[in-house]
Amino acid sequence: MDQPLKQAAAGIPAAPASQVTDLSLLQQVRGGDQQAFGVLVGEIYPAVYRAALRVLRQEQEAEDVAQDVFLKIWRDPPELRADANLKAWSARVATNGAIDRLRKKKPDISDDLPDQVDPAVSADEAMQAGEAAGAVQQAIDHLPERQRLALVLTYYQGLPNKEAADLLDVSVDALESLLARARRALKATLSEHWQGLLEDFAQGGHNEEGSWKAI
Amino acid sequence: MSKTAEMKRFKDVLLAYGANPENWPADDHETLRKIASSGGTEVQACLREAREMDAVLNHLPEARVPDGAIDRALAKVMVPPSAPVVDLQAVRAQRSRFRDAIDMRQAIPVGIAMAASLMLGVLAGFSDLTSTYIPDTGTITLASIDEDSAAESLISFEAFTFAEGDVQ
Repeated sequence: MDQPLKQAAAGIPAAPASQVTDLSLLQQVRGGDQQAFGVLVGEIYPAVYRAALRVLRQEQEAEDVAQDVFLKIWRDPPELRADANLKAWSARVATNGAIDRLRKKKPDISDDLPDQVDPAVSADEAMQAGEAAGAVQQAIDHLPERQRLALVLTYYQGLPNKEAADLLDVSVDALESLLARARRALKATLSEHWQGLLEDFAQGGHNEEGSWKAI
Repeated sequence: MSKTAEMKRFKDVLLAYGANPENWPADDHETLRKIASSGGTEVQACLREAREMDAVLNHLPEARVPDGAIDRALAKVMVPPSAPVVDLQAVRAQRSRFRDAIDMRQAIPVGIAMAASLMLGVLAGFSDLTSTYIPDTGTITLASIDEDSAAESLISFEAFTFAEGDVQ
């Protein structure tokens, strides 16, 4: 009897097909199957890498974090529940790893303005160049670090608010305050171009994948 | 919670988490969903504003995975456990010190042998010379050096040259 049938028989809601595949691959990885591991890495690497990149904003460091995640999976495959999502689990491990790495570089993730901003172009310049998504990216990059991380963890990584607050060492109330300030700041920064942005996005016009590295 | 407090919480949640109820805190879900579906003008305005911000945040493209990144990850993970990293400089320095120590060990007995040979040669020569000293003339004749002391000196010389060659 295959895995979904077993679950159905046990009264457990069956996981989506991709999750079943991931979990069965994980089972094979647990048995030392290198080929299965290769398939698994190919499937979930982008999610893991992007999770780290959103936090760190540096490609090489994000790659290092992703490699650490897969080393961990290979050496000690996680025991996940049948309904667990390996991709989400791995992305979360990558997020934690990225936050740890960020803390080592900068022990006090403060609410100051970011000291390291992509020097490429400002939001205004990006808008003038017709790159709406680039303008938003620049505005996010210019947020104070904790506001940016609060937004990244809750909005882009989809972490529950309690978990995001724990990662940032703040209360849930403080996290909500950071999120509200982040959204207000973004709107203020992009206010001149707000209608243009909405129209651009409504028409589906944005950069091709990879034009903007952080998110 | 009063209506005013509920409305304030609704606005706070929209401002923090956006208009998608899936992103709202679980504790607030039920109350906020009721407010959202109430259809009041203020509620609709708050929802519209939150949706606009969500639209802006949603339209960022996903970052491209660098070429070869997956292969690099696999290569790092699949690499067999390697031997401990050896510091070649340290090994060379250690080897050099060891060689020096060996040289010193060789030099000490060689030096002792040379010194002993020299002393023996000098003593032998001195005893022969004293026995052949002629007070009257105050000169030393070549004939006074016998064959034994000559052979002794030769052995000392050979020992010296052998030791030199060995060291090199």
